[in-house]
Amino acid sequence: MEHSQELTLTQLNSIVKDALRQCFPDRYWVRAEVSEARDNYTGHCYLEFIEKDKRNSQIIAKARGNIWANRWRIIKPYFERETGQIFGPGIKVLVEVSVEFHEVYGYSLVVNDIDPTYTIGDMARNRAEILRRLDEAGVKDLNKELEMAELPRRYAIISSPTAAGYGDFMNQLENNQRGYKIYTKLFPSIMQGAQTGASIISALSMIYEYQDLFDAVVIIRGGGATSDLNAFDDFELAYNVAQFPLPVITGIGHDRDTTVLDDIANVSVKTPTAVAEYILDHFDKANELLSELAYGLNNSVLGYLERDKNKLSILTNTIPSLIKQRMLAESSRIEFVRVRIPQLAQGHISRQNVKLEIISERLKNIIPARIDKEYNKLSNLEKIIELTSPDNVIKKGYSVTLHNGKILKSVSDVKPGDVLVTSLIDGDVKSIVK
Amino acid sequence: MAASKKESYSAAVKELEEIVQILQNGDCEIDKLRQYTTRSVELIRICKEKLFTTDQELKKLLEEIEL
Repeated sequence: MEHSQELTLTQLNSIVKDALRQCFPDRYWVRAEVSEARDNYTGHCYLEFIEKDKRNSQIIAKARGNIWANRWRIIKPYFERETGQIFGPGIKVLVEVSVEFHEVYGYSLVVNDIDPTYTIGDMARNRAEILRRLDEAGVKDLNKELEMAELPRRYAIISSPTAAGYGDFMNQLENNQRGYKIYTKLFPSIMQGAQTGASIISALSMIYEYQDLFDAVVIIRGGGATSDLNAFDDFELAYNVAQFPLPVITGIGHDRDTTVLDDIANVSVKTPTAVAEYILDHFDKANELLSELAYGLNNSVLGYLERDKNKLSILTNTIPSLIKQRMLAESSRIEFVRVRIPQLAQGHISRQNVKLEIISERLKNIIPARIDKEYNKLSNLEKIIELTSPDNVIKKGYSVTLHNGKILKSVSDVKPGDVLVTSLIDGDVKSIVK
Repeated sequence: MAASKKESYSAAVKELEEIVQILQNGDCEIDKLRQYTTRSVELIRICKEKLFTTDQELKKLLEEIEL
C-alpha cells in the first residue's frame, strides 16, 4: 500500500513541536490545581496539574508540568514564604507557563513564575467555607465557649514526639523557674501531611476516654521553617476539635494569619513555646493572686489586733479617771443634799406654822359664830316646845280623856259603865259612859 | 474524683477571697478572727500545694494511660 507521505515518529513529533511553538509563542497565566509534585536529584520539580468539575469534582483536564531547577530554587521558597504553605498536592495555583512539547516526553507546561496571592485567596476561601459549614452545624464556637479551669495544670498533649517544638515545650514547662508542677501526657500524632487530620482525631478520641484527668488539650507542632498547614484547614478535624469537651490550646507554629484550627480552638497562640508561656502565665497569675490574698489577710488580721489593742488600752486608760469623776460627782451630790435638807426642813416647818396660824385665826372667828347659831337654834326649839306642851294646849280649852290611865282615842275603846277621867286646866272630871 | 480535685482549687481560692473580703470590710467579730485566720492559712496551703507540690496519685494515673 502506497502512501503519499510517510513520517517517522520523530518527524511527526517534531512537526507537532513546531506547530505548538508557533501556536503558543507566549507565556500564559493558568489557574490549576496541583495533583502531584516531586523534586528529584537534579533539582527540577515535576508536577501534574488538573482541573476538576466544580459540581462533582471529576477531573476534566490534566497536564504534566515541570519547573526547572534554576526557577524552582527561587519559586519554591518565595511561594512557601508568601503562603505559609508547602508547594504540593491539593493546592490551587496561578502559574505562568509556556507550552512545550518534547519528542519523548510529550506535552507539558513549563512553569516560569507563580502568583502566590491566588493561592492565598483560595486558601482563605477554603477556610471561610469550612468555618461557614462549622457555623451551620452549630459547633463553630463550642470550644471557645468552654471555661478554662481556674488553675489548669493537667494537659493532654497532641504532638509528634520527635518534633523540636514538643521538646522545647516540655523543656520550658519542666524547667520553669518558679517550680510549678505541671502535668502532661503525650498522645502522639502525625503532624504533617495528609494523615494529620485523622491522626489528631484519633488522639482526641483517646483523650476523650480520660477527659476527667485533664484540664485542657494542647495541640503543638513544631519547629522547622517549612509550613504545611493545609491539614489544619480541615473540616473533619475542626468539627472534632470544636466539639471536644476540654478547652483546646493550639500552637502549631506558623507565620501566616490563621488556620481553621486556630479559629475554633479555645486558645490559639503562634508556637509551642508560646503555649508553654501561656500555661506558666496561668500559674504566675494564680500565684500572684494567692500572694495578694495572703497579704490582704495578714494586713486585715493585724489591723483587727491593732484596733483591739488600741480599744483595750483606751479602755484601760479611761476607766480610772471615769471612776474618779464619778466619785467626785457622787460626793458633790451628797454634799448638796446634806446642805439642802435642813433648809428644806426649815422651810417646811415655817410653812406649816403659817398654816396653823391661819387655821387658829379662822377658828377664833368661827367658834363664837357657831355658838351663837346653836344658841339661837336652841331658843327657837324652846319656844316651839313651850307652845306645843299639853299644859299650854289644855289652857287653850283642849282636854285629854284617859281610860284606865291611857289616852282615849276612839269610841270603840269604851263600853257603857266605863269610868273616864278628863283633865282640864284646873282639875279632873270623872264621868261614866252610858 | 479528678473533677472534684479540679474544682477544689477554684473553691479554695473563692473561699479565700470571701474571707479576705469579710476581714477587709471590717465587720469580723474578734472571736471569729482566729477561726478565719486558721481557715485561710489552710486554704493558702491547699492552693500552694496545687502549684508547687507533685501530686503522686495523678502522676501515677497519667503514667498508667496506655496508648
